[in-house]
Amino acid sequence: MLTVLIATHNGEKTLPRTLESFLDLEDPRGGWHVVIVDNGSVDSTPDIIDSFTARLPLTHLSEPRTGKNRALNAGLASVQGNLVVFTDDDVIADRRWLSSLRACADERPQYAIIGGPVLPKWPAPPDTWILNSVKLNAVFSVLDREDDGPHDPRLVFGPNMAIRRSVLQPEMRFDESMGPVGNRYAQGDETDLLIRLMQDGCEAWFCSKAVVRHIIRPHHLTEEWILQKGVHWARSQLILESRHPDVYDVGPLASPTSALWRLGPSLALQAARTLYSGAVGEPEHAFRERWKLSLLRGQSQALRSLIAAHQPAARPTLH
Amino acid sequence: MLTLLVATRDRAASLEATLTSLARLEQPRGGWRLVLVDNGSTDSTGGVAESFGSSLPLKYVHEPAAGKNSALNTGLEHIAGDLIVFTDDDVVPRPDWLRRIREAADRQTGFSIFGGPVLPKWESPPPPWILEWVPLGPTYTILHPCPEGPHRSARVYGPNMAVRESVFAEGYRFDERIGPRGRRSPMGSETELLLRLEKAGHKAWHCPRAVVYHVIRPEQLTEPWVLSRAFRFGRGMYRLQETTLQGPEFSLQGSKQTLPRELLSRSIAMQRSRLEGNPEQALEHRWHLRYHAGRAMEAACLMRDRVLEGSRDRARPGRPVT
Repeated sequence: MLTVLIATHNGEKTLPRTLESFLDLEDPRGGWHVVIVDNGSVDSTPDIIDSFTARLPLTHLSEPRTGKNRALNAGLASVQGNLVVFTDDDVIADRRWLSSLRACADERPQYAIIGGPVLPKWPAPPDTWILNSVKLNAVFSVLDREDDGPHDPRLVFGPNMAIRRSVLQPEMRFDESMGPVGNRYAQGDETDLLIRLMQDGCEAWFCSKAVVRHIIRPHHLTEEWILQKGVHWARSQLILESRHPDVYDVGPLASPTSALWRLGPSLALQAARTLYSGAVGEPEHAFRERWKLSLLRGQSQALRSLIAAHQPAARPTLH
Repeated sequence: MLTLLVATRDRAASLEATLTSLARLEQPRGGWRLVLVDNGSTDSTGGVAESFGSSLPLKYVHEPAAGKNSALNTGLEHIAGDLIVFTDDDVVPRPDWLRRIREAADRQTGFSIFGGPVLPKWESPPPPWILEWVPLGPTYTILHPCPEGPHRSARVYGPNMAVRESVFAEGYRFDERIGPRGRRSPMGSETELLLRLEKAGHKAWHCPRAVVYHVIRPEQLTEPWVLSRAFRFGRGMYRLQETTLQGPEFSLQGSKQTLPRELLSRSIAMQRSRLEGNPEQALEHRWHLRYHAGRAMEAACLMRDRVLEGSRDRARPGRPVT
């Protein structure tokens, strides 16, 4: 038996497609069950979930306090079986998704974490500049790898990860001070949990047949949305590096205030380059400069939040 | 000092773009030289190479014997320095590429193989069926960045890999029986060497910041091209699986025993998708069908080789394969 766990917040645009794809799933050995936690939706999400209760082995929970990590923790109280499969309300599962995860987990009992590919489901053919210049893994959570094998837990992504229930002890929960809230719901912060598991000695295996496709919405293909995503990504990356400096090999931590001072000139320089390339550069180059500026802005936001929390910081580098 | 080794054949236009980007590279510590091996080009490759004589530390050598691996082995006779970096003639590196690899090699003294991301650079927009149904990694040799650290050697890709010179001094060479040679030859030329090195205890390190872009040309976006690639990939993977015992566990793979069944079930699925009026789904099945056809072809070739091996001495003139 395994449990699929999904948290959703105003997911009416994509959740129906996700649940419809579940109807075609090949049954994993030992059966399965899905727990959906409605995290304070104000759209038709609760009705959509209820409309599937007759057709899927589904439990509908509600966690009104906002925060994806809070909702996932609430859902963890209701899981059954020995494997918890996490995914999102905006994926389309391949028919063999669960059966493959189950088979990988059973064949490799020494691995506590199993990850799988997350492929993009484009709403329309994306422009070439998006394919050439956008970091698809950071912006659209894309993860493609074609072979099975041991895998870095930091590269297991929220839309497609399975964790053995035996390692999800009561103290091993998602950090409710992190993670997506409200509009930023899609931004997964499962990496923090994966790193803590990794520090406990858990290892990850990549199961390339267990595919989900991540639905990309038309407005995600706008430059504005992509740059905003860059800010969020760089911010959470720096916070993760500051929390787990040993795992990221970033050297000794610095005072966030001095790091912020040092970031100032880089920000000013990058702002100048962005302006210059916007005026005279070719469009793809100009976009890349704006992207770098977004990353620096995300890092400066992270440093300011670390200053407020009196925590030391990893030194920012440009990714 | 490091040597960058590139083999090229009849790709003057893309080679020119590659050399132009190489001329803009930041200097790695200790400097570098470029060994360009012309593998029997009949186009203007020679002229292109000559035109970079003054802007690149270039040594231009010829290897008329067909085969990328033969060309690379010839290039290995002209190397200098303690690190050999490999790339292709259709690649555009970031300006800091060599400097990043050099830094990683200097810091990680316990590792002898280094690799970095290979990202796509689409020259023209790919059609939706490619983005939707074609496995992009094997088809276009794409590797997304991983966290910096130890890496499996099978995940180091030819367009962005470096090996310490001491390894070649030990006598290791590329296997000249595989690798790109003609239009239907098996892929995976460098993987074979890397797996042999891994088996011998050499370890690989991934440098996420040493990035190259693999240029994807418009003619690589056609169905025949993609399917021929699947076929060659299948051949290469079968050979790796058969000859190294520890080949990468590809999901696409399946075992020798299930090969006929895979061929049959994919054919049926393809016909069904066609009848159902779902040409794109049919194409996905076709890709896998061609992949397994490539495996079957390689199985037949290996079997033939084994039979021939019994009747005549297979020793070939030139360098032995370690």
